[in-house]
Amino acid sequence: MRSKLAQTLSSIPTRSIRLPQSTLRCSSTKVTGQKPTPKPQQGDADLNIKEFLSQPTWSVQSLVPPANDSANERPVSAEKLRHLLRLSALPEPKDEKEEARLMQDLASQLHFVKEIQKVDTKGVEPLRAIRDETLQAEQEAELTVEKLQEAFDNEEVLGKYHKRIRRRKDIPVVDEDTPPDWKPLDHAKRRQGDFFVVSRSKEPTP
Amino acid sequence: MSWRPTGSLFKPVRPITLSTKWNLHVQRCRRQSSLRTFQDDPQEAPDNVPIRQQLKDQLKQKKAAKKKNSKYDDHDAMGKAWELTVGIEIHAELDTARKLFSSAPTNSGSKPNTNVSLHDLAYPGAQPIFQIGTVLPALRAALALDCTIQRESTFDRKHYFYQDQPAGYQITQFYQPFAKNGTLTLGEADGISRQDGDSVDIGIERVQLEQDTAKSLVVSGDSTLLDFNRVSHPLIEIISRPDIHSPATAAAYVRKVQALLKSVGAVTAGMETGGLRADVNVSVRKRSDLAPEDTRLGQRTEIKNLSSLKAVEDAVKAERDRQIAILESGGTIEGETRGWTVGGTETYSLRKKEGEVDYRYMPDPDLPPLIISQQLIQQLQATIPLPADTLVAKLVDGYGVTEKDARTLCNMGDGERLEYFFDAVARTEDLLGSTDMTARVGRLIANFTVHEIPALMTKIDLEPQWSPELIPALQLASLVHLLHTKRIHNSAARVLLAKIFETEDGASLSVSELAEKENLLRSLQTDEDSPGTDSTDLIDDVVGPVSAQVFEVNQKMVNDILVKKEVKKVYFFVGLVMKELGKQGKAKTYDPRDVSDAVQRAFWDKYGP
Repeated sequence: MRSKLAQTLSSIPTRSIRLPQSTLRCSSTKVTGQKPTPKPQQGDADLNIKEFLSQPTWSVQSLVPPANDSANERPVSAEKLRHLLRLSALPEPKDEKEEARLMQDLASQLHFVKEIQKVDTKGVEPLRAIRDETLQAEQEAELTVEKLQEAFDNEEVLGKYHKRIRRRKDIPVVDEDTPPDWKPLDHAKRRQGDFFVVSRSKEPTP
Repeated sequence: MSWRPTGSLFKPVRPITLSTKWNLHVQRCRRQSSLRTFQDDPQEAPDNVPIRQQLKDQLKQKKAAKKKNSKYDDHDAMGKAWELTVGIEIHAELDTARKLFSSAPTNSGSKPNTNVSLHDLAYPGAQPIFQIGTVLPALRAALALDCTIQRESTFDRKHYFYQDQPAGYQITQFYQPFAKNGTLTLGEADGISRQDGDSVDIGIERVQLEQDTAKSLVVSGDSTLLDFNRVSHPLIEIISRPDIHSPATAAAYVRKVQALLKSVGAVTAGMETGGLRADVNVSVRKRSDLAPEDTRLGQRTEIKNLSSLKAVEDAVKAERDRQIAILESGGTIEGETRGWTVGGTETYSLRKKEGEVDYRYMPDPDLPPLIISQQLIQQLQATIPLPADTLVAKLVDGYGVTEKDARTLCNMGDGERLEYFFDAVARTEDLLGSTDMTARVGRLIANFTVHEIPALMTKIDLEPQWSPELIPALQLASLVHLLHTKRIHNSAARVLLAKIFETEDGASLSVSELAEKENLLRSLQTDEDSPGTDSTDLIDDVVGPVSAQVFEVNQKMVNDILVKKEVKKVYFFVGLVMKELGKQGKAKTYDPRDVSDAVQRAFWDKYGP
């Protein structure tokens, strides 16, 4: 629990950081479609480390699909593509050409995700955020009766025989965090009286 | 809002025909009240009056028929062949001072778009800051539902784009909710379906904290108006297990959750003002297809945003019938989200159901986990108000209150009537100098609180507002003390109550002074010499001779009853006798119902077989 970050880091094989020149040269934008070919090693049994380091085990190239990967040209159906666009509040493709381009983008993105999913994360808790995970920090965050004293003070108990708890409504609630000169409607594109206005005809289906 | 169980209430037990206006009023009160609570001896009068038995039997039959109509919802062959399964998600607005993740206030009465912070409108860079006061009502709600509170819970984003959610996601607790594994037991008094027997346990899978959405107002043209005051108001979502198998029980569950949340002060409003909304998941499966251990359910649909108990019951019924009709004609049920219009007869499709994956849940990196100490849970558990079922048991077992009245006391208003009840009982015990008679006076005081005082209020004012000051608890205690020590009759108690309520004297004189002034103290004192004896003899001594006179004068009527068997005409004599007693100034010292009984006894003694 405590050392999520450390665990995550240790699970990444550090030796793969060193990449052969060929891979580096053809990195991000241009894809050769060729696997990096390691140089054949000439004996030298004494220098195992050298041999080891010379063999790349991973390449960033694995994250991009090979060129002319016709098998994955349309990773999802046209219907599914539209569903995904709708969920993301993105516009539908105007024509077939645009649809093909979107499919291609999606294919390379899915390839990337699948590669990432190959990393063995068994027993590793997901890293939700980078924050202080010490015992002391947890104790500070723990909600106790003392920390909630103000909230308790803002309650009252009604009744002598049948006790009921009510939040007191007579205590003013002052919002100190919101800038006093900021008005929520200031940046409204359309407004009507005290309301924001949106057009129903443009509403995406929820 | 008071809620009363259906079926057995408000039935006239013994109709009486009386002439004066006051007596008409008394009659009305009687119809609303449980007459038996006034009787010293709960036993019925001897069975020598066939008419009464006849009327009683008729009422019994009517009651049974009504019960069958309203409660037996798994009707006919269809209900026997198909099993309905329902799971319910309830969203309840918590009563908090501030929003869930910003310090903006929550007051519902404010001008639109004023209680809004930068974070509520998802301004770039605005961070969510959990408002710790929110956990008090949330934890009380979860404890009331018998849940296990999780020491650590987390917040997640549920993504969807809609105008009422500026961030493009709602913050909720998908992966680790703050409370799990609760139970709610529903009994017969909660209005469950007959098929559930005496009681049924509904499992609560989880309770999670989440943000509310903005309010949309649809206006003419193509515009929708948005008020972001409600955005990020703290909600709890209570998710039940699919343990419900009838529409009536579905409504009973929502009703009870609502009452429970209110009783622990977790929420301010109920369904009537939109403070609570329910989504129901409905599926059916054919019983004959099932192996006994088979737990697989049919394809379900979700009906969203039901805002009344009636809507819950009606929508479940309609959706059950729709699904059965489709399956019986060989179709299949589509997993989808459906809607319901109040007063409608059918649910309608809103959209294809989004799968969980479509919401792309992810842990919110901006929010640390919520950590709740055991000490806080213990403190809240120790001070949580008693649930209604426990209170009802206490009232029935310890105070001799009928279960019906006990439920009404607990459900009426904001608990102030129950407080009044306990206050009046304590004061009566003081006057009696003993707590031995608690069960006896408790029953009387409950009757006054639930029936007599409201009846008076309705008489004076069409829209009465309850207040413990209407009849101060001490005065009710004095009145009950007089009644209990047999210094006044039941009917006089009502008159006295009205005098306390209506007159100047009521405020200045003590109750016993007032009783004396109004000449309401019992005319026959024998009872006091031998308390506990039945007063039947006394009333017969007075009513008997008067009755004999009126029978003599109305021989034709006597013959109608005897010869034509028009037995109901005996009530004609009751009216005449009351009138006669009125002339003698004795009407108020007797309970009209006792007079009615005495007249009937006198009649059948004289002319009976």
